[in-house]
Amino acid sequence: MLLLAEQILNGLQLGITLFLMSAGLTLVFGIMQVINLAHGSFYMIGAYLGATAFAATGSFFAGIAAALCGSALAGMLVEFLVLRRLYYREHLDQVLATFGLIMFFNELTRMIWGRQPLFMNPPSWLEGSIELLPGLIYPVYRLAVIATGLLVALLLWFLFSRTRLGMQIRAGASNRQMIGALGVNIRLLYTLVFGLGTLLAGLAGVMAGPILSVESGMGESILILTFVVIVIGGIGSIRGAVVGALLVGLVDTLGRAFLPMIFRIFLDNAYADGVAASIASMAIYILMAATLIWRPRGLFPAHG
Amino acid sequence: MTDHILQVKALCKSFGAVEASRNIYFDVCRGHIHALIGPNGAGKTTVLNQLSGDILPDGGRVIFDSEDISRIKPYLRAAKGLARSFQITSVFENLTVEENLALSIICHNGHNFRFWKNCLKDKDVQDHLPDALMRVDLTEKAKQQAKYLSHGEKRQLEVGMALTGKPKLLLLDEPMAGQGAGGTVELSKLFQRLKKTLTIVLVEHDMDAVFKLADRITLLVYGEAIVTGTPDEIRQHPEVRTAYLGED
Amino acid sequence: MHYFTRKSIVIAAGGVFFAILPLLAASFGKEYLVSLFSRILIYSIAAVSLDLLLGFAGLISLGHAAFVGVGAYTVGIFFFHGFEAQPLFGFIPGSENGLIVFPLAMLISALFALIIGALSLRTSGMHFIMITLAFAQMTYYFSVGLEKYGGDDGLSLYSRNSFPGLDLSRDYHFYYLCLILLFLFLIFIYRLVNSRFGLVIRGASSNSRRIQALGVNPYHYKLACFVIAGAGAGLAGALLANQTEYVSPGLMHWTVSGELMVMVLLGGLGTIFGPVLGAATFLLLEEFLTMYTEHWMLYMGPILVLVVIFAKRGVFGLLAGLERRHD
Ligand SMILES: Nc1ncnc2c1ncn2[C@@H]1O[C@H](COP(=O)(O)OP(=O)(O)OP(=O)(O)O)[C@@H](O)[C@H]1O
Ligand SMILES: [Mg+2]
Repeated sequence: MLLLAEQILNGLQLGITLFLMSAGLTLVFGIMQVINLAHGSFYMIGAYLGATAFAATGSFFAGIAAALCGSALAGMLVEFLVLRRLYYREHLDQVLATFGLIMFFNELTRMIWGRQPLFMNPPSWLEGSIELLPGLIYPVYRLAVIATGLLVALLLWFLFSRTRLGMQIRAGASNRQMIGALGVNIRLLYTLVFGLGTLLAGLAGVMAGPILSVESGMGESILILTFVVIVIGGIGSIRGAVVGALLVGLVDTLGRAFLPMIFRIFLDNAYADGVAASIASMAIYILMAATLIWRPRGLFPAHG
Repeated sequence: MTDHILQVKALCKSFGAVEASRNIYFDVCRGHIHALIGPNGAGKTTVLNQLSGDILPDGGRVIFDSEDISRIKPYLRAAKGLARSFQITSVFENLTVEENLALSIICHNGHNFRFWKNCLKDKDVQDHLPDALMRVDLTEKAKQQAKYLSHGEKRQLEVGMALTGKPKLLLLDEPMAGQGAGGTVELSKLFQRLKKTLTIVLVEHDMDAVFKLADRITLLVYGEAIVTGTPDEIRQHPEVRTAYLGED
Repeated sequence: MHYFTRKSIVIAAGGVFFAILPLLAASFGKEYLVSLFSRILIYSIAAVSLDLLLGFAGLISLGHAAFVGVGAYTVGIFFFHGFEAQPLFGFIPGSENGLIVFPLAMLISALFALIIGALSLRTSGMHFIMITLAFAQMTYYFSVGLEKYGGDDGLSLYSRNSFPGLDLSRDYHFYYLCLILLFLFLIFIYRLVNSRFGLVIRGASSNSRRIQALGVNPYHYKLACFVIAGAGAGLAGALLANQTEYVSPGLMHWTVSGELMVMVLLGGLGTIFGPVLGAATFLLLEEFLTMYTEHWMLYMGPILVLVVIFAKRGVFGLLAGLERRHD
């Protein structure tokens, strides 16, 4: 039971990271109709800048600030230089150009920080674990990640449902022509939305830093999971991103934790672990395939 | 009893708050040109889309050759002999004119899981392509990519594609729009000839052409089918004058 | 008919170049070029098969490497069981006979493509891109999970497959096998694109609503196309396994899918022969840039962005004077 609670928390934490990634990406998909493979690069940039600034200053907040500013600025720069030229192009062009960006960013980080992964510790005031329930000991840092993620989700909800900017963004996500008719400065809005998306990715990256290792190419494994989230949730829908992220986070974590046990009931140990491990790593894709059969456009499609 | 190739019963469709079709009834007799007229936004294209299956009605039935087709997919309706042209010209832009027509020919002649033989040398294509090109007067442009055709030529091509399958019922959405005076006359003649072999549902704003061509006319206003009748009846109908012809 | 168009001259020149390349390499004493160009020929097959999807069917598949990998693994697994003299699933004997395992590799890749395609084609647009990528990643993890065949580390073959009359351990024989297979595959694709099937596929990608109004359900045609492209990738995979005598999950990594796409784009989308030039350009550029810097991707990335934004015709388009593709 305790193990289950712990794994659910782990799943929640992965889900939160995925939500931060997919919220930005799904908006960019929905509003600009651009498929951006390089979204994972901003996650990586956030992690690298955060780790470096934290190590240099000793202040975790400086690390977070560096990650947020760096990823948002890099995002807006990329939007300004490259993506802006691709809004009205075919998806294939967008895929190829953003693939080029991935190559560039991965190699750039390798050049600056070398091939060895960076290790980042949680700040001292978030180190250690606390006992949540009798017997359930959980790292404080991970709890902080979950709490931050929930807070950001709330902020996003507030931004989208209560502010003028959010209204414009939502209008844009469901109807691109309309937003132009409203007399909104589209170019600026696009740049801002893009920057917001990459800022969230950077936040996800720096928060993942102490949990995973910070290395070149780390953005792509999370990117593919993010795609699975978006396919399940539906393009352009924040609600879909929330549900999809939690589903994927939980299924992936619980699958890895419990499938070996379940398989050991039927098969002998050595064999069971191998089979279970490979099924567990495929579980979310199976989930995605099932969703597709049931609802080809995702659980909460944004466009009619 | 007259022979109705198409019967529309109680057709309803809403887009959000807009009721684009409200309880529409009309019948189309075999061999007629049946015109749908009405002001902009009256719901003519919406009716046509429900006939072709591009959108599904919220309620009501479409009966084609005594078979209820209201809920089947567009390609199945097409296979049953229902062809259409689109209001926004819809041809295969990246293909040449002859490829466009060849494609519509092969789509109506057996299966296409044939991987080796050059399509333009296919027997079905060789048999029908010259006629198909001639019929819409595009023989000269056969090798040109469709995207380089003029607007009027694209319309001709589109009608040509709709015709190659020897459909029983042809749905045309404003085929005259964008045609010069000459093109309109040509198309009118074509439709007149076609009447002998098939039935046409024609959506058209060009009133001269409509009153000249149509056997029967249905007037749509705000999603409602107000009246159906012969051109003379429609011309005399008081509601037509107020609602459509802009008289008070 | 004009037989001496720029296009046909470029194609003929390319054909002659590839045919005499081993002679050139030998006379300049640069034998290693033969194996580099074998690789180019193999990737050409994969890129041409992907061009069928990208350039003709309008299906943006970002998971094509999965089928290359499945083909390679088929060769690897059959070799393994033949070598260990231990039948697969207890009753299928292994084999290292190319005449058996090459068709098998294509068949099994085609089967994978059938399953993945049947699911992915329920969607379109951006969904399709993401889903093909995700399924390829799933195949990747599946191969990582194949502990018996080396898991993460992959599987070594101890020799190349046998073909009657050929000795593939000699690089020249292998090179010409690749060349002949590429040639046959190109002819097949050329015929395919101009056949009835090809016309339906091109029509469906140009205007899906229109083709339905003509009474055709594009799904089955697109699926068939996806399966054919999968089989082509499987063939490339079988050759690749033979060239390196090694198969590993890395073959299916999603970056490989991306690189295949890049080759198609560099060569010229929807040009059949272009991807061959694209594969050559990409692999030679990689070879060339790595001579000067280990960070070759730092240059390749921006080059790619520039090509996408400014030079959409691709190398083949430039050489053959084809018009710019635009929709
Ligand atoms: N897909 C849609 N979504 C929302 N509203 C729609 C849609 N299609 C049509 N409408 C609305 O339904 C009404 C009828 O439109 P429709 O296109 O059928 O008119 P029409 O008679 O063909 O007009 P026109 O003569 O301008 O072609 C209009 O108010 C239109 O705005
Ligand atoms: Mg209309």
